[in-house]
Amino acid sequence: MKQWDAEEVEQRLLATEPRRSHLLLAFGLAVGALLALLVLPRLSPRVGLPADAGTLVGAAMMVAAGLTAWNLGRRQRKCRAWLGHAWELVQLEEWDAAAEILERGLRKPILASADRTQAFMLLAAVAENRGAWDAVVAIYEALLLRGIPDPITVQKAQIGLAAAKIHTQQLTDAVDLLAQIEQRALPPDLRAAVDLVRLFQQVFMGHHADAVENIEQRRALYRRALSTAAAYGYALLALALHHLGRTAEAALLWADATTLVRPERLIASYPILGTISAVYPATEPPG
Amino acid sequence: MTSAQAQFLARRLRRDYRLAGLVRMALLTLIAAWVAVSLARPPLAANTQDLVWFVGLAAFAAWIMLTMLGVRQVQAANRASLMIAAGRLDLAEEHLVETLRQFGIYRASKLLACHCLAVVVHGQKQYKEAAELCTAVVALGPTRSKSVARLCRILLADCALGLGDLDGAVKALAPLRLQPITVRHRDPETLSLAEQMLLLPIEMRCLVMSGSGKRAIEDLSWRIRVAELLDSPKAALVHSLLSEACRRVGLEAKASFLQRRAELYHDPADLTGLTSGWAGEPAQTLLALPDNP
Repeated sequence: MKQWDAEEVEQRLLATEPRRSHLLLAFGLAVGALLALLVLPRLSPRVGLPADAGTLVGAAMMVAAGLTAWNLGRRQRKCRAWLGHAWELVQLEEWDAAAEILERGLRKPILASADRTQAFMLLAAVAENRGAWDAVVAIYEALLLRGIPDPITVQKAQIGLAAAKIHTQQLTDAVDLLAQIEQRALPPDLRAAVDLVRLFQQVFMGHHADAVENIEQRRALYRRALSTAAAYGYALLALALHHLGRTAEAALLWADATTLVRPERLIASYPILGTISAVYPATEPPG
Repeated sequence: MTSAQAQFLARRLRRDYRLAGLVRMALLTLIAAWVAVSLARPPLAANTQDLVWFVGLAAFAAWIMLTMLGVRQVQAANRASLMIAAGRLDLAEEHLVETLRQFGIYRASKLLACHCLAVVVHGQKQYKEAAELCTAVVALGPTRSKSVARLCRILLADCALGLGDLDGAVKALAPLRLQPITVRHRDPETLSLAEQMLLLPIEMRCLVMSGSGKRAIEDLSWRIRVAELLDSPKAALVHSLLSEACRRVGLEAKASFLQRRAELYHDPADLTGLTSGWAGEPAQTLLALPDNP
């Protein structure tokens, strides 16, 4: 994947800016056709045009309006198709293929702003997987600065930005952002996602006692709301327990985490987990 | 929604579906006749030309109005989806019933509205009524709106399970198949990942209930991959069912591993809400059913 920086992200945001020209053209042609059909037949004899000029012009404009509208719909469907495919690839963690599709798709205007935001969110997910944290920060910041219409997506972008800022060691910004997000009423899955980032920040900054202070509530929240991603929470809790010398509990949690997600994937997302992967055995799935 | 209302809307959908084709054909014929008559040499009598001009213009205006209505129907379906997400099933139902009562020449928008209404009614646990609507869409959908028809098949299967009709559920799912999605090459008939995520828990229930243990663990790693993308309770349910299927075919180690994963996702004793097919029976009952010979 190419290295994305703030400038590149800005360029892609400009390139994908929705353009209304085709929509306006289709509308203008339809109105023009109607006017031609209504006005020209009455006007033609007076201005010396053939009697059927109105019908011909009107019919031509109608066909042009229809073709423009059809082309618009086709482009919209095509955009939805590549976006849907990119979403599938991200879910299936086929990062190279997802990056390729997104880099190609983000060169042309995307008509619906929700689709455009989703495309950049997917790009951020790909960049997160590559550990390109500066790119992740650039993408989320650009999206948030331009305004995201859907409040849930705003919150997801802010949570992603907070995590990326921890990775890039912009800790003060990350802590402030987390505090802001935590004050809002959030749906359970986002509440758990914020808590996971908070846990990461605590472990990253060495506040291990804080990290495990409400360990049972945290475990229950992750289990209830994060599905497979709960494994990342268990692994970070295991790391905090390890640093506190509670090795038996750490081993159990590491086993739980690796029952859900392979250790390589855990470490790829949180390199600090490399410390405990060598200490505690991971759960091996049966062959 | 009452059963009679659902039947009425399903009948209306079928009628409008047939009528839409005829109306479109008639409007196109009128517009074509209008252009042809206007260009005819020598020109027709002035009265005839005026009549054809008026009729053609009316047909064109009707097409534009019906197109705008079609757009509004799609918008209503999209708005209803947002209402469903916000838990306002009552409002969504009101909107969608109104949409389905309106005539439209675009069949896809009607099918979409009917599918959304079936989702709402299913959400209200009115399985018989939802099944009625789904059956209508499934019967009309395959040629025009494959994706909507597939989603309705999945919903229909869940409704059938809700009514205790395992055979009906199996029959509804028969044309659908869970299949690994490859990166480059994609068969157009392969279900999308989102569709497979909806299908998996319902198909697993059908397979385990009907004792098709071997089929339930075909493409096991793909099934696990899809299950990992589900929310916690559904992921737990699918893992429990996969574990049971593995146990039935003698794969004890895999069964234990999958059961442990299921426990990490959710409390297995608390999966009652997900097994609508058994009218609130806990998942353990489902798992305790004997294998078919």
